[in-house]
Amino acid sequence: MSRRPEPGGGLPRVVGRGTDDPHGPVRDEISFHIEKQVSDLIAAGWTEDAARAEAARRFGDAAAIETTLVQRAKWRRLRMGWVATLDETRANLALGFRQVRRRSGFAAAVVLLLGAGIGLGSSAFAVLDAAMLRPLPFPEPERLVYVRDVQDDDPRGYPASLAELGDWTEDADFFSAIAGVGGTSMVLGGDVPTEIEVGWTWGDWVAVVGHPPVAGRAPTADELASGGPVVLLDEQAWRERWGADPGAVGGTVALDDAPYTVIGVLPSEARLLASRPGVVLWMPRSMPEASPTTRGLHFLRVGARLADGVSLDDARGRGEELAGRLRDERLTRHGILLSPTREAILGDTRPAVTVLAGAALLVLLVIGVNLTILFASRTDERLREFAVRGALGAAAGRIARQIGAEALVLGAIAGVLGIAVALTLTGFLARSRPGPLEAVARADVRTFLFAGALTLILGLLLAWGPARTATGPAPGRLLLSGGPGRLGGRGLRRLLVGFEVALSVVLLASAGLLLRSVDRLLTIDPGFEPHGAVAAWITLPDSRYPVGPERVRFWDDLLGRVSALPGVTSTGAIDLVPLGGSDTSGGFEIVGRDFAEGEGPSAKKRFAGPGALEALGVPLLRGRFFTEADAMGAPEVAVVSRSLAERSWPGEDAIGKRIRFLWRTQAEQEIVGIVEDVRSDALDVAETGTIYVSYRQVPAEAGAMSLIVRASGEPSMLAEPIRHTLSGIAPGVPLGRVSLLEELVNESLSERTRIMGLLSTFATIALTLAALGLYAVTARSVASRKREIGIRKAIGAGRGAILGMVLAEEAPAVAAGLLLGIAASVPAARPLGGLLYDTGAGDLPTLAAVSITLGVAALAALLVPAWRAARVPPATAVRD
Amino acid sequence: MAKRTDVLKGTLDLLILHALAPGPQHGYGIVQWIRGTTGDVLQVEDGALYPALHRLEDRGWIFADWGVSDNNRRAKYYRLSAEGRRRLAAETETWERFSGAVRSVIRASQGSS
Repeated sequence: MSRRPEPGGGLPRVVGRGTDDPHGPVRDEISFHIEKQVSDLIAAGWTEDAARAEAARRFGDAAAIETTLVQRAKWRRLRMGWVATLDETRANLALGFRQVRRRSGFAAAVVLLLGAGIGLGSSAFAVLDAAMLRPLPFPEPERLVYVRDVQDDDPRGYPASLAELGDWTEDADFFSAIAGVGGTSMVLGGDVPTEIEVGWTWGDWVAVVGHPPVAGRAPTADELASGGPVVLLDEQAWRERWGADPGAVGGTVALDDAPYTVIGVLPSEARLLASRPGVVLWMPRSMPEASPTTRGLHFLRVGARLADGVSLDDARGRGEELAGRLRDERLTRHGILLSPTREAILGDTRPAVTVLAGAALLVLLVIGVNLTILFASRTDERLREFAVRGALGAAAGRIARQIGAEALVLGAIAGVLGIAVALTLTGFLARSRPGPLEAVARADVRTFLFAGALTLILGLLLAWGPARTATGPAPGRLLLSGGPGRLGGRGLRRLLVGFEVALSVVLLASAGLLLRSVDRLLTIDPGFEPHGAVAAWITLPDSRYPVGPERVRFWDDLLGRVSALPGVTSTGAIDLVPLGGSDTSGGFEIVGRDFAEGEGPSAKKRFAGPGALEALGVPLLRGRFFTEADAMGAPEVAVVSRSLAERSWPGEDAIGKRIRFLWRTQAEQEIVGIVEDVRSDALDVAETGTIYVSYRQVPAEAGAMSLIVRASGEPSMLAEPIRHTLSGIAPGVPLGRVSLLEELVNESLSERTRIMGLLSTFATIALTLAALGLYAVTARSVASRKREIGIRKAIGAGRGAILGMVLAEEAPAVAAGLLLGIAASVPAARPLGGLLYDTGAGDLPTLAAVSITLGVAALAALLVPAWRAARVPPATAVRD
Repeated sequence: MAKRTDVLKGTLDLLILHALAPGPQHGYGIVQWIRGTTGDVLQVEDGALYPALHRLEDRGWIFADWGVSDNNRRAKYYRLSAEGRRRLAAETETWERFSGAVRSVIRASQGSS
């Protein structure tokens, strides 16, 4: 018999699988035919020989036909095997779908949990992948390196100077291209002049980036040498501002009132390499003659491409040699530091990314535990079904495959949900660290593959336990006993709940530590008064306000009018606002003291005018602030910070001492005032020394400044009046960003607050899931023990006693989880390292708060089932 | 001797189904039936029958069982499945429509000449 199995009907018959050889039956069939023919012919009067010959002739090529039939039989056997498997799979999947539909509550819970877990895990992977694994989006990214200047005092290195870039361009033959970029803002002419971010480039920037222009061309060697006047647009800016108009290429743009020809459009990947975000256009600049200024001003981000066949290590070695030679030739202390680009661009995102990925993993684990509990309970409910089917003769493997199919159906739905979650969540996670990470992190094919793998692994893990139980020894015994399932009995489930609690505690503790750090940071005195003042950025175009008294007049004029605005109490201009994200420093000499060449002290340098420090609210400790009298022609003066005064003149009075900047040795400044230290880099970085000089005496620098305005009432309302005032005295000069000083303080903490927000969210999710898990396990345990509880009630146990019993039974798991979590939170806090301030792992108030939170959540989860247990009527003992 | 015509492939399937319509039969019996009913006009090389039989079996139009023949030898007997019966009816109807159409064409051309 070789009947085709009817789909879904009974056990599939496996046709001829195994030992029997198709040759036999085929040969039998053919030989029967021929023999029968022969005997019929003989009966009709043929001789045997003649009959045999005739039969063979009539039959045709018996050997060939045999081969054909055997081949066909083999194929059929192969196909039948597949058909049987496919049929069963189809039936299993259909059953899976039916199960999913029938238990839609269970299915929804699994899909939501699993989908959330897959989404979370995948987006954490996407961010981690972008920050640490995936090559940056440049051609031959491994050949793209960052070049920094390095001195003995700081192994992390400094930005390079133009003169250094010149030296390296000339002598470093191990690079095939090298270029530096510095950011600046310029005014883009048009109907509404706007301040835009411009990347000034020195060297063959397009070659370093490696991407050819998407439209137009790269600058020619002549243009690179002469500095244009040409520009390349950024691709994204070209789309946003120019509507991707191909006609923009070849056209002219006005920058600071000067015309530049647009020669091409550079892909936006180049933005990743810039020192400041949001570059709108790239402007090649000519390399100036080396001078003390070009040597002393360190502001360039230098990128280079390794020449063919040069490894990073080779280049480092040859860079050492070159630096040695340059040191001898030019008597400098500078070296060359080469680092891989990813390291340079994304290196500092590592702590944040590690924390996020770790937190996501913890949540994923909690989700996994909950799913396990959920599936285990579900299997309990179905054990009877499995036992019946087993007893009726269903093979163990078949039941296991059915469980697998159900998990597969759920997993597939959850996988789709997970990918949707990952698409949304990846951008959200990446924004916890704005800048390059945000630009490179996105959910892509790699993320989807990861999501698929995660789905498969989770699905198999989930199906494994129940499948094992269902196919375990003697399901019939369960059928007889009719008792509750023992899939990883109550003990194991409590263990799982304890584990969940521990994971939640770790997350809660981490979030708590960050919360406390931010809290502590906000109590720090930044050295200025953030409340009640705004900063407004204004950049003067060089063309209309050439370096010189013009600029001073502009600021004097503007400040005069702004101070007359209603509510304004003080106002002034300063080049860099505290916590505004920029910094410059310079070396100086103390007049009358000798320092070895280049060994003098250095300090942050700020240009400020009268009123600026007052408007910022920096307390004056001794001496005086700048006044109107500190003008061009009057003796140059400086105000210094307390720490600089203490460092440079320990035990002496700094007032009246004289200093001289290395970049401007022709003039000396007399110190006239000492002010409080200002935390201008970050709230948790103490100031090391600042020198304020007056831009009214050194007007070269007064091009891009911030107006600080302190006012009574609501300072944020000042933006419009300031804009109005500005356009009144200088039409066409745009008002840049206007920001409350408080906003700057908050932004300086934004990385912490963002991570804290994410950790808190993760912790809340984990805690909720742990509570749900605890509830589910307890409720199940209570439900399965109704009889026992009934008996206890019948023999006199009161409601309180039962309530207490349930709580007491579950409490050890929770307590153990709490302790384990607290212990684990200590090593878990390590990646938070730099984000923590004035607190650390094992912070008692944090742990106390975490314990209380957890206790409340656990109690809430336990009370419902415990109360239900307490209300079990004693009659249950006999009725059920 | 009547002129012999090669059997078209699809026609062979139809003939096999017809041969099995009265009841189970082995390959040799099917060949004899075809010879007898078609009066040797449609002659099949005996061996060519078997690939066709096995193909129909794979398609589920016929089933096969091993049995014992009248001369007491092991023989493979074929019988129609439910599907085979449906095919037989359908194919017969198609064939009759087709041959009727051909016949009417031939008559028309004979009439006009």
